[in-house]
Amino acid sequence: MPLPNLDLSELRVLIAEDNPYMRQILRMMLIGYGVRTVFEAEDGAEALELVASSAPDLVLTDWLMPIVNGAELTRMIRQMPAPTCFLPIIAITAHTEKRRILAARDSGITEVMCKPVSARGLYLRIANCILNPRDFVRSPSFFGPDRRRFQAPLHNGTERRGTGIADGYTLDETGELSQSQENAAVATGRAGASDPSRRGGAPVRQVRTSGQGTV
Amino acid sequence: MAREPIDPDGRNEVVKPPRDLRSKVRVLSGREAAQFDPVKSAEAALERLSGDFENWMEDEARTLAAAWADIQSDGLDEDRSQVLFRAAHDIKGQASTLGYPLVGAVAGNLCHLMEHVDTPALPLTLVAQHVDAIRAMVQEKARQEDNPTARALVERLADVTDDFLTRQSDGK
Repeated sequence: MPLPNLDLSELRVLIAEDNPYMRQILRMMLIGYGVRTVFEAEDGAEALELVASSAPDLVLTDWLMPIVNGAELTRMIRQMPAPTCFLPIIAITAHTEKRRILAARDSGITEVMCKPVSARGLYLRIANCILNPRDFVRSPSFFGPDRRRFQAPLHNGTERRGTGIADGYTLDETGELSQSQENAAVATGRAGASDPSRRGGAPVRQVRTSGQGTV
Repeated sequence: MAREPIDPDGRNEVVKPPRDLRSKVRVLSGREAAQFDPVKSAEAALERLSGDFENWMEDEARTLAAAWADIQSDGLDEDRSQVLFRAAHDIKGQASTLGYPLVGAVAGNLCHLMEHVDTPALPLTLVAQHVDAIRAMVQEKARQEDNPTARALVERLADVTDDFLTRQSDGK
């Protein structure tokens, strides 16, 4: 499906990433998309200050960072007063194991992107945050984007959250990692054993979500 | 902001975010879109940056080697193990973007090993082999995915790691 070409010049984006090279790569991509206002933080703590002081529209966060990591940053943003708590957050992570991706989802991120980043993959997620915004769910134990992008009031099926039933993860574009591969890895207790990137095969990346039970 | 309870006792609710980013973003007209493709523009920006990638990769490999040197000189502990893991994790995430996919594969394998073995039980010889492999591949500029020597190295390290993890999980 062709991606719509968007004018992102008014968008304010915060990058939280401790690695200076990856920060520069992300900044160049955003500028390439036409984003004019980019804030940068070297860790989650600095990112939190910038969220409060600079009112970004969107946050891109690395997952493994010193002091305050991506999961903690996400949880702290979700605890802030409205409208800040609704900020779309895209987690960018080199983790490729399913349990890590599920943990990211459960901390309240909006989208996840596994490294290596590609210009198309990141644009797809930003466009998704803008054009297909998620509703939020508030429960006693969770506040964050609804895993379902669209409500299905007539749905009468099994509740998938926490049941161990396959979550319907799919990958976009090249389909480098299939649900069955991941399930097999988890089932055998060898999470990540199927990761083709470990053997120099097609890198696992761009975990995309679709339909129900998604990130 | 609109709220809608999703269970009978109202403990869970769906909340519609008050801000809609669509108000700040415009879909380009066909004519405008023909002149500006954001993805191609970002790819071109990365291409302009790519002249620096070799230096960046060398720098990341040096960081990894320095973390390993600290472990060799001062001993392995949780903090030093974390520094080594972070350096490997950075390489795992960036190497493909920087044009060294096989280096990323070795770093990914090292991360896999470190995530599945408690720090005191880490096989240091195998860790050292990963660090040496990354250093050598970067030094030799092994960028091509079909580089036979680099590919053999990647496969061999993955096999040895899998063997080690299997033996460990079997309690041998």
